[in-house]
Amino acid sequence: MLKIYWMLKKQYLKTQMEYRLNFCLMMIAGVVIRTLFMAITYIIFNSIPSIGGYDRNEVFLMFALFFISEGLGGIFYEGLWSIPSMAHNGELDMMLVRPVSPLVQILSNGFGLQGIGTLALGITALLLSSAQIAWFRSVLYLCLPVFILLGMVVRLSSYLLSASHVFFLRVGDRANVTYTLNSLGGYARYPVSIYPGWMQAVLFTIIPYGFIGYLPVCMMKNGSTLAGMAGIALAAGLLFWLARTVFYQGLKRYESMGM
Amino acid sequence: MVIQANDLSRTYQIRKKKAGLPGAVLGLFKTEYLEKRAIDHLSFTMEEGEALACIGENGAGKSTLIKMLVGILQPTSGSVLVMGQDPMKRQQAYLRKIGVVFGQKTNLWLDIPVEESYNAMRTIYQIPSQVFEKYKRQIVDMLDLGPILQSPARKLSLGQRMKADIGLVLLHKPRLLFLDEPTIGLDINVKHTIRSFIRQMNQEEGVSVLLTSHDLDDIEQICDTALVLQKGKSYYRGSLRELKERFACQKVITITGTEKRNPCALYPDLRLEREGRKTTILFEAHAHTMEDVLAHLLQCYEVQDVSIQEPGIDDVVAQIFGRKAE
Amino acid sequence: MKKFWTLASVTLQSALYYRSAVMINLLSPAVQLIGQFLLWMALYAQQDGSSIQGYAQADMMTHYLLVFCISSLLTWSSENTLSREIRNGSIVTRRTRPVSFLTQSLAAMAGNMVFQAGINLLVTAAAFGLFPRFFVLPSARNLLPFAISLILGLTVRMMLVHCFSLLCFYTTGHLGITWTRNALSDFFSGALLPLAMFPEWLQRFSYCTPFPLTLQVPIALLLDRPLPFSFAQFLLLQLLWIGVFYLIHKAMYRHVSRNTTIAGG
Repeated sequence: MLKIYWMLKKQYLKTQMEYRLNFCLMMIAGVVIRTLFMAITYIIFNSIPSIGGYDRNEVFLMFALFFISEGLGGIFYEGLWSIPSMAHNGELDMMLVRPVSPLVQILSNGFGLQGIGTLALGITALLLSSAQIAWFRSVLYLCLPVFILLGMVVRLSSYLLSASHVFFLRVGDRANVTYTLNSLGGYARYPVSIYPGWMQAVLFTIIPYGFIGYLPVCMMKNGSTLAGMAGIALAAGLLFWLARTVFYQGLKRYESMGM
Repeated sequence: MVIQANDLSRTYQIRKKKAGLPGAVLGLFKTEYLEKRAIDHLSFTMEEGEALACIGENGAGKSTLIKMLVGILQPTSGSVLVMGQDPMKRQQAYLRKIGVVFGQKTNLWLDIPVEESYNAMRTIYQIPSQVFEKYKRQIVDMLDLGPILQSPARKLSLGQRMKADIGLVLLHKPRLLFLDEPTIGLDINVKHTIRSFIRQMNQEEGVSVLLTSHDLDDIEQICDTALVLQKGKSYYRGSLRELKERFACQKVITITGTEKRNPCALYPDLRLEREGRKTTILFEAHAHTMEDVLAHLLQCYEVQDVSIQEPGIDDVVAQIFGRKAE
Repeated sequence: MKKFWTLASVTLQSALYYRSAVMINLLSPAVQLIGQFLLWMALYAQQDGSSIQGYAQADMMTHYLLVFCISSLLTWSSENTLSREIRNGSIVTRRTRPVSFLTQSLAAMAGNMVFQAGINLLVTAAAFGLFPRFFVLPSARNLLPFAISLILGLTVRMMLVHCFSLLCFYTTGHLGITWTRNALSDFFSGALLPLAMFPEWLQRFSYCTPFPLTLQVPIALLLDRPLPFSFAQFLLLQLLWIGVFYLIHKAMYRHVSRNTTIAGG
């Protein structure tokens, strides 16, 4: 199973790299978008000392974790975004005929180039901001990969869950539900604690991006890093199980409706 | 039996569209549905090694039937067993034994070179290396795929892509091959290559083939048996030859030469159309055999040239579905 | 002109076919708006409600409300159509129609815009009507300059999008280009943050680009916010940029017409 995934991934990367201009443009786009976003936040911090009790560097650390998981997500499971279009144009049918789990095929389908740029930016932001935070002890650097990995699982589950809408909702290829949910989740880049209760609930359940950047930094700042890791791991596991279940249910529905 | 379908049915719900801008806005608030019965209590069997043609008009449910047999569409009622298994379960052992080609969709990964799609099959279908390499080379040669092996599938012309698709699906030596409109939109040379290739697979390797096609030449050249669908029901199930004999309207003999005796004296139901020195004789297929009439005609004419026209599947289809033959 | 509206109507009809899609396309910008509201309400709450850089909470909220109203008029799908058609070759149909290429492009975008505009207007009116204490109500005398500036601004934006779409004739990197353009547009047009909050040098730079003309300028005119130039000067600027894009379109189109090879099938 894993062999197939890697083999296809490599192929996609090779093909993408042949279009060098596109390759560069996508990487640039990824970097530009997020840099501009960080610039806006930087400007806001010119007038405000802190957001929700977190200063500029702490907020940038949250951004960094967010971007890193976003970049890695693009590299490893960009294929999830194309689930709705594949359901419409029949590519999904062809996947179902192969003796490989459809989920593995989808995950290996594609390579998000902008993820590379985003990842680079995220790592840069991580290194720069963590160096300037007073309470950031060196040992925490070991914890970061765990948080990033968990963040990736959370993100994967969220993408899968929202992409599965195509099996339950008749939207054609005119609306990008996955994109809408993702952009709402973007508000979790900021400290989630500033939002009213119901919004916080949303950012930890329906669009659980609160687990990616905010919660790790919050836990690390408060000294309860390990508890944070355990909690997020539990949440990530649950979310993945939920997403996978919904996806397979959706497939059953797809077969009974015959789109 | 390689396929066993029992009382299979499949209905679709289709939204009714209203025309114009006001209709489109109205459609936001109210939806009406039409029920369409694509397959209606269909039962049939297929034996191993058969080359079965599924014939029917547009929208007669052929694609629906294939999807149900492959296991990507759930029947509304009834059951089907393919190679003894329920295709909906999509067990890996089952999927490894079948191959599917949908004419409009492709099996290849669009953005990677064809050769890489082929190599991927080895891992996916767990084919041993040596066997794979040999077979791959055979297929590439037979279908003349050498020049396109390095191109991504997206860049191929339709004909090249279809050839690559057919080659791809046979790489893992399936026991049962489903082909849904495999030659649609292709030029005559490619069609010929594909048809003879599939025919060879069926005759020499014993691969069972289930083919749906509008191209009646596909059917004539690949298949021996037929299943005719009309409005989702089975209209005929049996050999292709018998189908032609039973439903064909006429046999035609064209004779160039002078008439010595009127052939209608002995066979009053012969119809004659004279045009200069050519006379076309038409008669009902079930009324007389070709040999009898021909023998008689050879007596009636100073024959310089003879041509015979057996009923083609076109005539049969036209006859069945009540349209005029071209 | 009649052709324009026919084409626009056809685009609109196809957009309306999928009911849920319509709902979601309406909700999507609203969702982002709510996010912005929540963010800024939280920020101002920290401040005990005092102004940030000359913007009181009500000013900021109104700014974003209007941003939502205007910037969501040009949705992703309408922009995508032209580039998609170029990429898959169906662009030839456009060129064989007896309507100017540019008109077709603008008509398609306009068609998609009409419906969204209607909904946005409703939402905005509802916001002003139901929650007057959260917002700053614009005074009626600004409506006319606002309307003029808005229409011209939208035209600038459509021309910009159209010219960028033409780039698809030259490269396959359209996705990267579009994303970058959108990001730059959002940043410099005041969609992400009112331009008045930018540092001086950045403000000056922004006004050299056409982006503020599409969003920040009409909004500022409506709300009586200070602007670096007068209304008349901005009008000229908008017309200037429309002219610039028109020339760019002509140049690119001429070049494309001579050199296009539609990918063979």
